[in-house]
Amino acid sequence: MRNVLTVCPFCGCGCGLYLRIDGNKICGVMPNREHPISRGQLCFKGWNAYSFIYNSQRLRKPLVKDKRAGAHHGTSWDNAYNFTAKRLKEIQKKYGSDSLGIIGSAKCTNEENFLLMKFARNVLGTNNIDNCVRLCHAPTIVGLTDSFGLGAMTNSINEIENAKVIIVIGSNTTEEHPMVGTRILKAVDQGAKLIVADPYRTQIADASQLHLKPKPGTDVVWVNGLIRIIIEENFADFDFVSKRTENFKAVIKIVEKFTPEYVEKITGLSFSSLREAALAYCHSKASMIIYGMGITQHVNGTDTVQALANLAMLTGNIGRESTGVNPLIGQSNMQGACDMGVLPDFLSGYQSIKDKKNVVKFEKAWNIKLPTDRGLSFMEMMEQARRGKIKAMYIVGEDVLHSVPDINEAKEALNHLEFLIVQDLFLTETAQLANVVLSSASFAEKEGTFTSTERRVQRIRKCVEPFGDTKPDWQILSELAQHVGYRDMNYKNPKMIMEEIASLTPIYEGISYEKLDNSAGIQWPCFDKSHTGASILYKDSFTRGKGYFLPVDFTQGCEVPDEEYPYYLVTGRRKFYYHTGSMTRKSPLLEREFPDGFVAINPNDAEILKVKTGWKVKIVSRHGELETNVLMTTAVPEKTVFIPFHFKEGTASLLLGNSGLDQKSKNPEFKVCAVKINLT
Amino acid sequence: MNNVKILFKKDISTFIKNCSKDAEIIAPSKTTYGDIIFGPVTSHSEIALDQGFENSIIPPKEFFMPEEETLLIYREYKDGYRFEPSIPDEQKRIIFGIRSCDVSAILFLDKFFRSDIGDIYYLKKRENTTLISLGCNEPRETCFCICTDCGPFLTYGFDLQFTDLEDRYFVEIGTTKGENILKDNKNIFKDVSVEDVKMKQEVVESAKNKFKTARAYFSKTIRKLSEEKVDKKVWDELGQRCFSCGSCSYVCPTCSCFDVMDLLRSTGEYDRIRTWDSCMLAGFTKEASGHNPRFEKMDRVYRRFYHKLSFQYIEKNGTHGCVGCGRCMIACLGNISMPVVVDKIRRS
Repeated sequence: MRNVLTVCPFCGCGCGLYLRIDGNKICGVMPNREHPISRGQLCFKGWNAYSFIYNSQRLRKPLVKDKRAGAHHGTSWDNAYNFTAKRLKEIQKKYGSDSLGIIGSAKCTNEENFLLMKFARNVLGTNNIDNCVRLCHAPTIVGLTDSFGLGAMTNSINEIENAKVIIVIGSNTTEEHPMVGTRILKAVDQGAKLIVADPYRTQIADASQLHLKPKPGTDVVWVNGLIRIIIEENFADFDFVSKRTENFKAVIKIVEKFTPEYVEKITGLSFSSLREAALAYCHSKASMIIYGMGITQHVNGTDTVQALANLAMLTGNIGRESTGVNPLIGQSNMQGACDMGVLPDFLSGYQSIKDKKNVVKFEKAWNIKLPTDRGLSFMEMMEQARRGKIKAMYIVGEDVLHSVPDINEAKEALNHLEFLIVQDLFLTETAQLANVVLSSASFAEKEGTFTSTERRVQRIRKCVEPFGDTKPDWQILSELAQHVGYRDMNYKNPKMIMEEIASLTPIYEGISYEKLDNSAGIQWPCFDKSHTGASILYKDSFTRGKGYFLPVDFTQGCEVPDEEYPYYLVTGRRKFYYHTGSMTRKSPLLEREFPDGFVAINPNDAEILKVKTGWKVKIVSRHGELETNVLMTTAVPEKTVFIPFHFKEGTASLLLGNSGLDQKSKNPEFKVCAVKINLT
Repeated sequence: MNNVKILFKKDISTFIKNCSKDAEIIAPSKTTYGDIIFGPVTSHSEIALDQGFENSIIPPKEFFMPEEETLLIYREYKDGYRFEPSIPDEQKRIIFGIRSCDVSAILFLDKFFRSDIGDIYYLKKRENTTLISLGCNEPRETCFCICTDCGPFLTYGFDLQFTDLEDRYFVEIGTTKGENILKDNKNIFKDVSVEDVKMKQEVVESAKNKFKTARAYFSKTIRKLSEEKVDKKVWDELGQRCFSCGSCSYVCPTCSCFDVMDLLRSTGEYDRIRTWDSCMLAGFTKEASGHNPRFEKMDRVYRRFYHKLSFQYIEKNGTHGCVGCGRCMIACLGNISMPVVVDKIRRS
């Protein structure tokens, strides 16, 4: 029995765990007690981290399809590469580079995402590259970059224990980020005040002293309301504001209209509860804001993130231990995918393509001319595919059909393409539409690094040989580039790729495999060989110089209940599954917990509707409908229903439509939708 | 004094070498990343035997009841199924350096796996394994075996028990299995002097006085729990803290629940496997109809502690289901490990 230390492939906490190997087979998981985050603990997903690897549905070799409508058949890697390279070159020649697009993966390593970014910009010659951050945390990347300079968690997970006041917004923390949840509970045990804002009564809300239940999609209003209260009552940290920030006056002006009456009318929150939250937050010197997708997946997502940044700067609760604005990123390497420049407007390390200096640096290193126009983002690419402007897409590790808001539109878009490449572990529904499916190796079958939500770059290690005839994604990309005729992407191992990343990316400059192997990861920015990384950002100054107060107003979401569609539909996760479920739903013990989708309905509403737990109902929105089972629970407030988004059978994405898009970040509005409930 | 011997530490490498001739030696070792894990070792230098080590992350129950174990393999043919049993593991093993609490836990598991027809997969491994335990001179902060009467030193249950006396081990023989090992190593096991016996007693007494924190006072809790005098509010509060992660069961040396499932492998064969399971998961008690008697977390928490501590189960198992190893204190995300719950109920 061997034990190999690696990183959990699920949420963004970045737990260290050992995979236990007997021969060439993984047969167990063990927590890593010395790890700074997992500390000998694991959640249920972590304990089942490996079971999908041996699922009978794993792809064993590359597949191709001769005709669009035909069936896939297995082929050799050489055939798959030649076919793919030939078609990519034809389409590039015929329609130009900008007819091509890449969707990167938050489940692939940093090295692989860096190669994807290089592949898009060098091999294909386009900035049309994005990753699934656009479906959840794009407002964080955009919002926090504008306010502070870097789109990432400002503080670290371990600091939560010592916070005195914690505001958690739109995060079912104990289920989605258990390691963060456990620290919040510990802080509460040690006397911290916990304020939770969430329409759903989560486990963390049960532990709070103050549970705010704003109407879905109105967070920006009450946050501005808090700011107004703090300014009115003269509790702002004016010393911090004048020394460290700029543009404060604009915020004073905009929050004027967020009077207690206005806030209560829009959000339903009383002045007294908001005042309690405001005073607690501004009177403590260790106040942390923690948020999840509950605020980002709205049309005003970026605005809300920026309002929170304003709140932190206003009270000086940033740049010190146990303070800051802390987004919880939901995937093992979504932070890393963004860090690596799998974005339409940034090169690796958030180096903007608008800045000539950056472009020149990369052009020199790669000896090629780079495209400099901003590329298309995820949803824009899908839209342009539908309209026929994007002709070929390369989708890596993403079941697009089930992760976008409108499955029918997405299907139409992908069917419209002349050529679709999907690289995945399984033949997902998206992969079924592909001309070529490249079978990739799982996290346990390759070397690389993941970057967790707290910017911790950690090594994942190869435990067993790749399954069947699969290959690690970095190897596939490297080999495919050779076949397309691009010679400068020939790598022997991920270590070589990391060396290139470090040489071109200032925030990763001091990171090397040697250093990572001798530590439990390094939190970027890590500027040189001797630097050990940074647990707290913006200690002395903000990355952009001074913190920027961005005045934000309220934009009403597109989906508001009316007489015909009287219920708010809220979507979210359950702890036993992870995203579209392509991995977790192949683990028998995980699957056992909640084998079917459901809709959570308040018992009072259930009484009105005359339904009970287990009954089938039809949920109808302005965009579509689905059938699912009722689960009566007081955890949801009246006039609000909740559907988990992991289930193909009852996919909430059928309902949400594609109408709402956060204009600043192009993130779709996932969280809310107006529905009616019919008996079947 | 035939049932006690002395083994000098300088001879320990010879001892390990001799023992590994016809058995696999399982011992605690430290990984590159500082974690203590029980696993196969080939030489004395790999073994971490210093006092003051924390208990291994996973208890040694894994060598009798692995996290995942294949029971049989079958394949579908035109004319039906063909089954092939998976032969129980018959490897001879010596677990060296196992702690008193973990030995006590194995005695507890024995009762469960011996009951009814007997579980051949467990029993074969048990029969072929020798337990050489090491008493704990320096209990850790999370240890509370003194409250469960499972340590820091044992009076029975071991094949051999070692006690660290600085430059030598005081060795007690518990069974013929243990005696046979001594017979094979006659020349390195020396006779015991009066001082040795005195010193051993001193070590035992001093270790007992070192338990400062994490005291769990079981008796009152057991009484309250068995007589169902615990307020519902207590279970409700505990339920609210539970993350339903299953960690408490996975790291518990006395938990033996498993799930059996058939997995289709990519080879076209089905493996019937059993894996560790946990009563803290809602799916554990779900019935075929979909009805679940313990859907709510508080009901599951109640059930777990009732099963571990109530008279009803003490009568059945001969002892309560906690050995005081402290692993759940580290693994529990909601801080509702055994000592916390025992204390909460006692004070309620």
